[in-house]
Amino acid sequence: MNPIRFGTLLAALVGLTAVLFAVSLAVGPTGTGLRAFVDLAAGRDREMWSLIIWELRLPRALLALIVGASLGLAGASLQGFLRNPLAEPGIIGISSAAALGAVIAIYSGIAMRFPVVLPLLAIAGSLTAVSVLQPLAARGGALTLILAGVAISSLCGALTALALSLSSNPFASLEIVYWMLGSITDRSLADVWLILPFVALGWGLLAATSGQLAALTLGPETAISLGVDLARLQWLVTLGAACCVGAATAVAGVIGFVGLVVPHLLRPLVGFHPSRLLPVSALGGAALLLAADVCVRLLSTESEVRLGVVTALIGVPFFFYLVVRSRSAYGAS
Amino acid sequence: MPPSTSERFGDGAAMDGIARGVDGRVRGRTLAPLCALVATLSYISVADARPERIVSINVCTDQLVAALAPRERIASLSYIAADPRTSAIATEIEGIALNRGTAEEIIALEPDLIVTGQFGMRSTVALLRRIGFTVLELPMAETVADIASNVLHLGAALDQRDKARVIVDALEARLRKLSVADAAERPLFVNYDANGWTTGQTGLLADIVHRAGLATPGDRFGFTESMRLSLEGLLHAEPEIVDLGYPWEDPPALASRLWRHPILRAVIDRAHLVDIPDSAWLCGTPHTLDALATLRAARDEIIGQQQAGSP
Repeated sequence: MNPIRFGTLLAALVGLTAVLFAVSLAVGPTGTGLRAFVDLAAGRDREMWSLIIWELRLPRALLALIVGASLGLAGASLQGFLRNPLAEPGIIGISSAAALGAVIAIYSGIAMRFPVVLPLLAIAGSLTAVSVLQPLAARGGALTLILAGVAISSLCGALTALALSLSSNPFASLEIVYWMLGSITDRSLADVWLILPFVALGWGLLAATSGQLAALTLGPETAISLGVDLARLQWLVTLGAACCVGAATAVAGVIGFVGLVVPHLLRPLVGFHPSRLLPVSALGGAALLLAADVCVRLLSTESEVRLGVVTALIGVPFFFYLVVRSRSAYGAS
Repeated sequence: MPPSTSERFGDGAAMDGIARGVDGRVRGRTLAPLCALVATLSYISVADARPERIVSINVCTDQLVAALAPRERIASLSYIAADPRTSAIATEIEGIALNRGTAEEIIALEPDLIVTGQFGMRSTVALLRRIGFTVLELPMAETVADIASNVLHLGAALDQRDKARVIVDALEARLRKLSVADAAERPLFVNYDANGWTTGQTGLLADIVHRAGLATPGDRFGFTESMRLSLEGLLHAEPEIVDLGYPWEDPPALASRLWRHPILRAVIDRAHLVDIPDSAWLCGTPHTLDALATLRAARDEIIGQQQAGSP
């Protein structure tokens, strides 16, 4: 596939994200579509309309945008830095570790009194996972990283289930589904404000890596000879990805495969340029999660379809394809 | 317990909820002698002597046993009976041994009658029967009429027929007094529970709402069983009377997060908020009519305000 003009691609993705954002605002149980949106606005109860838009649909659309962009960006940076196409926050256990941190913050009751502890503990979880994974990724091959990720995911999943079982609240143990598969239903603007500073910090740190990631595609030795400070780069990626994934998971649960599908689809379109891949992956991630969340709302089932179900249904075929491809690339040994 | 729907709502026969609200009262009365007969027959089959060591292993039967049997004959009640969030008798049963419903501890209590509901604990009940214990299973009350028949049935099994009759007479008299026989207007009542669960058209809760001359979300939107209602759906339904379930905030869980959402506050600001403890209608007991009394008072107030405002 020939790379298309970067400006055109960027504009197209901004347009797509904007359209999906608008669609997200127009879809809900009260009425779906532009007509219903206008009717609702012109209805006898303008106050109700503004409540629904400002307190329910806008927070939801904003969260889809922020969480999707963070996951797309974190996926693209991790893949660039670890030089492994399968390095996705959900697959390598960073999201599970963040969920464990969030679960401890919420079910212990600390987050009730100090809400900021929720994103902080989730980020601490993802930071721990990235720090454990990085030396393994550096020394071992692609397979080592994935296997270590499986181990971290399993451990964090088990500890999350344990923490939920220990709660004396009978609802807690049922909420494991949420932490495993994610959801952004019925959130408020407070959730958006809670994670925005952390997400913005993560975006800033990862944006600062794009030039160096480009040099890293030529191999670590060449990158060092080109003046890349690998230790600083590692620090930026670790903290940036941890902030993005941790804050996103704190309010939305584990949503997998966004960071895998989006960079994979967009990589050929930007001519495999990491500096260009990062911004388009953020936009693509936002668009994908907005679309997935609209799907969830349109499928009006008895019990809610989780966001992670939709992203996994889209993402797993890609995962398989990448596994098969990397198997042939790295040899079957 | 949560989504307490199986206990609370079960799957009752689909029928027109509003119609039943009106004629159910009549049926409850005409069925009473028949219920007594059934109760007598099953009494003969469950026990051949007056049970002296009664063990209940279900929060609903706990409350009926406590209402009917003298204290010295109750060997044990389930531990949930002592939880005020789910049991209306939590403060009255101090001193009675509590069980967790495992076969081993029940056997150790040496009961001569074990009482439970028809939901859950299937393997425990089967095991207890296999080793020769007498187990009485009461059906879940799907209507107020079922409460009366359960009380009579259990009263016969416990050899407390007179006490059961007194309770049922009082229940029926109170029911007659509180029921709205012919409601031309049915304001919407929403019972909003953890995770957004709310009432359909069938089940005990719906029966009480109908008798109070109110409509459930199930009546308004056409769903039979209990369902989850999103915050947006709740706001748009514009309920006139709202009751929030127990928030389960200590320790916290995500289920209680809805309680802090600004939309819920907006809904409450626009409605008449009533406070009905979950224990009132989690099980069908004589306490269940307390919920009816609260709803009836709220309806009278709303209708009164409307009439005062209309001319």
